[in-house]
Amino acid sequence: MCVSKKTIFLFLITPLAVYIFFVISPLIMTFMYSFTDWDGVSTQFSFIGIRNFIELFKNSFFWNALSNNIKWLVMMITIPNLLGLFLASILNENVRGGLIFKVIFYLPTVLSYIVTGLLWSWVFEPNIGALNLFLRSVGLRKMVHAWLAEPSTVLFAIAVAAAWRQTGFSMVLYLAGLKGIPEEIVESARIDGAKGLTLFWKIIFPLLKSSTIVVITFSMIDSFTVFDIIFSMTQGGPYRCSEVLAVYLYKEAFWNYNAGYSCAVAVILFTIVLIITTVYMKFSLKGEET
Amino acid sequence: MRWCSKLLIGILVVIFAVSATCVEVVKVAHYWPSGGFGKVAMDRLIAAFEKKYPNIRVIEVTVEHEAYKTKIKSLITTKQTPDLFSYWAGARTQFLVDAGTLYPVDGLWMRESLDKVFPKSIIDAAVVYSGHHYMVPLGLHMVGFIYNKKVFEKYGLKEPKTWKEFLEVCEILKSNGVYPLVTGAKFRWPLQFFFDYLILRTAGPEFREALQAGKASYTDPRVVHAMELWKELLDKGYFMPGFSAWDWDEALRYLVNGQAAMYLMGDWAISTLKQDLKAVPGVDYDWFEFPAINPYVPKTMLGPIDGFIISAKAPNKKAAEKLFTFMASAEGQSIFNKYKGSNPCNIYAEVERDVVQQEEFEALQNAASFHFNYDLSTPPPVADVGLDSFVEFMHNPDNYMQILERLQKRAQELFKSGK
Repeated sequence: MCVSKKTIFLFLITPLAVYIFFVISPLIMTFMYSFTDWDGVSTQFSFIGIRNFIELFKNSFFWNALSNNIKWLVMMITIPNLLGLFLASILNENVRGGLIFKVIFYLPTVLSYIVTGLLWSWVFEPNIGALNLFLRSVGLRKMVHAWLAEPSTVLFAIAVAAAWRQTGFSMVLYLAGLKGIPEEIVESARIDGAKGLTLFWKIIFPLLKSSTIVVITFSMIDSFTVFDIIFSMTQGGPYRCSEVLAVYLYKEAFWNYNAGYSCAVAVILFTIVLIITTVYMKFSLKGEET
Repeated sequence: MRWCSKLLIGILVVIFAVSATCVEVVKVAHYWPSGGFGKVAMDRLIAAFEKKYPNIRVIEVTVEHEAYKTKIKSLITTKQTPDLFSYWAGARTQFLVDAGTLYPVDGLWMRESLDKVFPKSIIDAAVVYSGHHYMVPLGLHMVGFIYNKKVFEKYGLKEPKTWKEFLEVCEILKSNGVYPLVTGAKFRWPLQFFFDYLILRTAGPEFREALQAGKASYTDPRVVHAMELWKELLDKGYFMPGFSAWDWDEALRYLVNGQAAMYLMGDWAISTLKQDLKAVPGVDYDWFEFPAINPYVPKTMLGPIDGFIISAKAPNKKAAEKLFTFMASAEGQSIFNKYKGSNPCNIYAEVERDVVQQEEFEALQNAASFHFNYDLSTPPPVADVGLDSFVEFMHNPDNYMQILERLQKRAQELFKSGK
């Protein structure tokens, strides 16, 4: 049965309208407000040109937040994805109780970042938190820290919490990728003498390129837009040590009555994510085509 | 019988329609969610109001304290705005006034002669902004040292009256394995009380006012001296570590269990101490005001005033004004503060106070003046930078001069840009 273009268009109207209303129009409005001095509350505001953008690039808090985003990106591209890959490789074999382990490792993914943040805030509590209690009980008192209160450990501690949640997602994607690898290729490689790490890195991992592209793309976008887990655990503290761009722009908009400036930060954040993901996708997909 | 049933239904519909149109609805928003003394206080206040005005129904909208700070600012610009909402008197309310989001109540204030029931100092500080009346001050809180009485008794300690005595108390506690001071600075704001009182007790309230208005510098020797006094507490290890990991109420447990002895905090903590931690006033905990440092500087009291204001877009201003008036009355203030544990602002309101609250009240009466804490008396963008600076200082006290210089630079930029 042939479906006419008119019918297709009619079915697409509603989701398109929702997308334009909830995604495109706020995007355009954010862009417009970034050129104003709107405080987020008043009905009056003025057009101030690119003043917000000039102020932004001169503001050390912006660069601090951006550098935290980059640190976060590095941690979230490596930790959950490598762990996910490792778990997927093991669970892809016929491991006893494999299904149960898959469920256990995937379960944290169903929790929201807010719940994950609140849960791990208790794990990291300096006096009665599970982590420090464990370290004290095994004689590792020297490793006890106020994980969320010390500038040197805070961002890493939050990343551990986020990675705990995210690993299951990477694991599932890599499992799907591994299931898609033809068995004959792996068998041929084994016959030729490949085994262990050599088999994995030279044969299996290259064939997981599509899964790796998806996983890294998600990680990159998530890393630059991360907000809820950081806000729920530290609100970007202590003194901005864990503040990322999304938290910074939230505070500027809702704490400091600086909505126009906050929109400018949002525009820059959007541009950064767009450039990085476009370049990465182009680079990766080009490799796939060849 | 069919026509009888139809007649009956018709009469019922008419009665319902008439009664529905006679009931006015007023929506009030506040930051005291269920489970706390604040919510109980609001429930009692509203019940008394509805009894007095049976044709007005009050709908409560409650939001958690930290989330309220951001949510209410968006809400009052929309059609879903509450008619009345709770807010913090001082710079934050001034900001809303400047944004044109509040409804002035000059007419109501004159009609009800409210100038006669509130002290002038409270009217000037909490009610009037840009020459107009906006807020009904409902409850006044005070900041002082809440301390573990059993720990003090165990080591034979008395409430310190001077800075010298305070340091001696801290040293005795530390030598006995008790952290002298605890604070919960996860959301930064509790640290401002140290800055505020150290400035108030050394340089005085006029200088502090100038500092917060951008007319004095954060690198002024008076501010540097205050920071050095604060640094002394940190260098001697008097603060319990981990303060950035706890919210203000989470740190109270270390006070109650005796790991720490003193906590510079507002008397809203009494609700958590009594209800959640089952601490008994005068037995488990007590209170003393911040000790004197410079004997020539008058002793002042610090704290916030909780009040209610009417939104400029309030759908039912008439009913909102009635609730506003009730909140201003001796009856309303007595009911609210009885359950909340704060101090009424209406001079004719009466509340029962426990032994600790009575001590606080006497200190307030003897205070030379009352001032809002830093983040309520400083323009919000400057206060935000200030609060971050206090947290940074707590972690890196040796860098206090660089921190003050950076704070001054940023404050100057913000004042210059009109923010």
